[in-house]
Amino acid sequence: MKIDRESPRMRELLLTLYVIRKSKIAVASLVILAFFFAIAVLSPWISPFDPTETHTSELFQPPNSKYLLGTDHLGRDNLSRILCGARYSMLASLLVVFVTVIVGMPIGAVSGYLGGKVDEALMRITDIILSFPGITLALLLAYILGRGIYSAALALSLVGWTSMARIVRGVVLSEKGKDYVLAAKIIGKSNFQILFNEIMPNCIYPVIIQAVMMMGTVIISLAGLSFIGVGVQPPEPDWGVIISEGRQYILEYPWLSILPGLLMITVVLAYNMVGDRLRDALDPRLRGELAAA
Amino acid sequence: MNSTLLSVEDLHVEFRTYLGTVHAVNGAYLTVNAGECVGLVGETGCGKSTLGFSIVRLLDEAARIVEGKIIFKGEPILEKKDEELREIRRKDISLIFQDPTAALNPVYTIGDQIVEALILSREMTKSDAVEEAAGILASLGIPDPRKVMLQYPHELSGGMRQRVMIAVALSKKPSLLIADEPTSNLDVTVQAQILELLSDLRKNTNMSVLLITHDMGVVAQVCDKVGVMYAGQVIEFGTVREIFKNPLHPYTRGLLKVANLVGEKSRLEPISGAIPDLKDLPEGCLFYSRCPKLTPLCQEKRPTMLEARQDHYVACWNLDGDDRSMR
Amino acid sequence: MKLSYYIMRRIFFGFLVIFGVLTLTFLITKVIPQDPVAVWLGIEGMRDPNLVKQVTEQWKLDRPIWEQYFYYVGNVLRGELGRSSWSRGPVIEDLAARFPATVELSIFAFLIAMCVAIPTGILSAVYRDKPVDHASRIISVVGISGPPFWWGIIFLYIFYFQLGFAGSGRISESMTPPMQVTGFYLIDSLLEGRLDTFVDSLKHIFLPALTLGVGATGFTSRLTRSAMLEVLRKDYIKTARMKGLRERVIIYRHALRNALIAPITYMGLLFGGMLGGSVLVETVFTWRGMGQYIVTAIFAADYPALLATTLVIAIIYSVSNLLVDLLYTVIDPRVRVG
Repeated sequence: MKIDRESPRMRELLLTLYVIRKSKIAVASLVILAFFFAIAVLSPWISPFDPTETHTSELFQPPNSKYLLGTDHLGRDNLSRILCGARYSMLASLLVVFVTVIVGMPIGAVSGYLGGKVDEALMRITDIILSFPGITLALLLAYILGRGIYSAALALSLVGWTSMARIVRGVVLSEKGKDYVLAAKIIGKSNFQILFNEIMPNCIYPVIIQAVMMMGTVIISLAGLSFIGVGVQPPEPDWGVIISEGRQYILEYPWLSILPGLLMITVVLAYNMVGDRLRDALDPRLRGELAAA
Repeated sequence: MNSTLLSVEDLHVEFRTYLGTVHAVNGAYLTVNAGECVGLVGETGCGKSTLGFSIVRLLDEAARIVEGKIIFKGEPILEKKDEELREIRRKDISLIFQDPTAALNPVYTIGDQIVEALILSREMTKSDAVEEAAGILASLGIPDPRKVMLQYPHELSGGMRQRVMIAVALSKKPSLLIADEPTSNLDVTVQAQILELLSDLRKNTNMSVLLITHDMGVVAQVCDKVGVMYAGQVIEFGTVREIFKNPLHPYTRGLLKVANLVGEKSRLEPISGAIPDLKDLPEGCLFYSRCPKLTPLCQEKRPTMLEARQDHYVACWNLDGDDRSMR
Repeated sequence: MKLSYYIMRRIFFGFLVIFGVLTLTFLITKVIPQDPVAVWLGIEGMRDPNLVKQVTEQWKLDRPIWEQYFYYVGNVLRGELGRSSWSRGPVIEDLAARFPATVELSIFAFLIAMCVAIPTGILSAVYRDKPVDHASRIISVVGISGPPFWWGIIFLYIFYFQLGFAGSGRISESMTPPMQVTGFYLIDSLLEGRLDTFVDSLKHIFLPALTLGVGATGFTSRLTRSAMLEVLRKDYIKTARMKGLRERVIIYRHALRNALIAPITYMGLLFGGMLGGSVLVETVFTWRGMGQYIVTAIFAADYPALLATTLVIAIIYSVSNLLVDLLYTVIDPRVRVG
């Protein structure tokens, strides 16, 4: 793939990066996300203790030099649990969004491009899946698939591809009628080529924005599934599990439940901020002002 | 003797944007007398719409009027308080927009929108207003006004929407109508109809019109006087006949040549060069980079409007001796 | 396309989707790893082949899949939603008791969310970049970034444990619930004329509703704000200004109706979010609704209950979406003409 500095696509990319760089909030958010990803990846090595290891003589310790964040009701090190919990939140959500894109993009593109009965059928299926509000269907599926992080991730993917498909379908529908597509057809390019080379590149930005925004939702959903008990299973440390376990002791030791939530807010907030800035960067009005530069 | 209805003096308007301050209007002068139709002509982006909106202070948040005077019926508009400004808008000045679809509220019927204007401006009762609205629509050539009044904007054709927008504007019987590119969105036949409509209106009332357009042909057809704008500055102002006969500013001459309205009709001669960056204006004449006649003075100091011939004002340092005439 | 035709078409497709939901649920029942007969009879019961045969035939499990499907649909339409393998009672009875609790909570949460979000969104737009705007945007964005169940715990901690304000459940333990008419405590207590029950129920529904609505409130507030800003830029607002209208009239009469189109589009989705979120929030607040029922069904491995409840929630959601779509035609005249 040639990287053409002057091509419109390249300029768009550079423009977008410029806008991001200009926004302090977006930069800060990206730093925060990088930080959490680093924790997630490195957690097995940087955790001082095994997160599932209980120290029965040291229950409910306040933060001290041995246990930097104290211990929980089973004497497990809170810091280690939080660090390893980040792993589930950050990486599993990445997996879910990735699968969503892989599955949703082609389906949406084909549906939009072919139209007719295929489109109708696929959209009805989407409607049916989306008729189960919130995590209801994901809950059901996760339970049936056998509980655990992979079941939860799979369940969320099975539900989540629909929104990605819808977005891509929308883009394809609006691009389908444009002149450059007609030109490609006249030249004799096959449908597949047209779809892949001409139309898909236009989908990349909306998909990226959707993916970023989705990350936040997925993190919250995964934690919710774990909270109920169909996601990560105790004694494994997931933020949702930690919050759930901490509920019983909320009066005496509120920080067990409070801390993971605060961390989750930070991460999701970071994703939302980046997503917002990305969306602004693609807003034609703002871009017009910037492109004049 | 015609009384001066509107007078704009040395107006400067700026916009704050992401990338710096855009100087949209840089020294605009014009006058509109009662019953006159004054054209404001220039290429896209020269600031004529901004000037038009400034007169009624309808600019976006990011805009600031930094200098100048706008006098309407002897009163300074820029110093008016909100309530007084609203009163003027309600009763005396109207504005019609380039895109009639965008100018009408999509969730209310035509009737509702015109009646609202009538009740506000002429303090009619609702039933009287409904009657009057039907009458106005009929006079603008709309068939079956009662039916149209029950419809929504999206149900009408482009030409009809244009007339409805004009109906709303005229309902208050304004002294001044500002028309922002009223014909740019229409095809030629509809354009002709609207221009004829405007001409008729002027014959029957004493309404003045400020017609903002990029089309010299339209100006030639309906206007009494014309102001030519370049890069936010009014560089020439006078009667249509005079300007078309004796264009003094190089830009005006170029414009008329390009429009094929004056001079040899053999070749299309575009004006070389491009408009300056409105964020970074030169100190001297704004037309400097494209002007055939240049002097050092042009680069140093920006020319101001001077009366070169009778009632003919130009902003240029380089008028030849025979361009001037005795006052 | 005339309005009535549009409505018919929309209702038709609505029913089509509901049938699709039924079909999907049915397919899921066929995919469950556990043998429903085994779940029902238990280890002991499975030892008796006659019993096994009896139950299998009774549930038509030996028939081809098409027959099973029709049997299933017929049952659902008659309200026969199976029997809970845990309580042994008909699921429909359990649901009938819990259905009002969830719906009451969801509707209340929805109302709170809209009543808070839309005015704040408008204020944010009108007083753009002033402190009001910044404050509401920060609150909105933090609200949607936190998991709802966590907010619930926080609210409980602050309001109940620290301040002694109403705790879990729909009503204080010391009080008796109002006489059942609709199943909505708020309405029933008023019907009965018991103000103390009403106030108590109100106090109890407030926190869970707030929790359930946090996400929707933040979302709607931001949406309303951007829609309003968008509308205020339009030419028809300039036309309105040129009529000499006061700013307030312009906002409420001309801008608002156009700006509200965007939030209304999302209303169905948001209400659905409440129904879905009830699973988590009801658990936190020990609210005896369908959400909590799902969670207990999960832990009791009560598949019939789980599936039936999910189905019912999906149907409620589909119907509410249909209603919102129909409402949409009233608001935006452009929709009526195809």
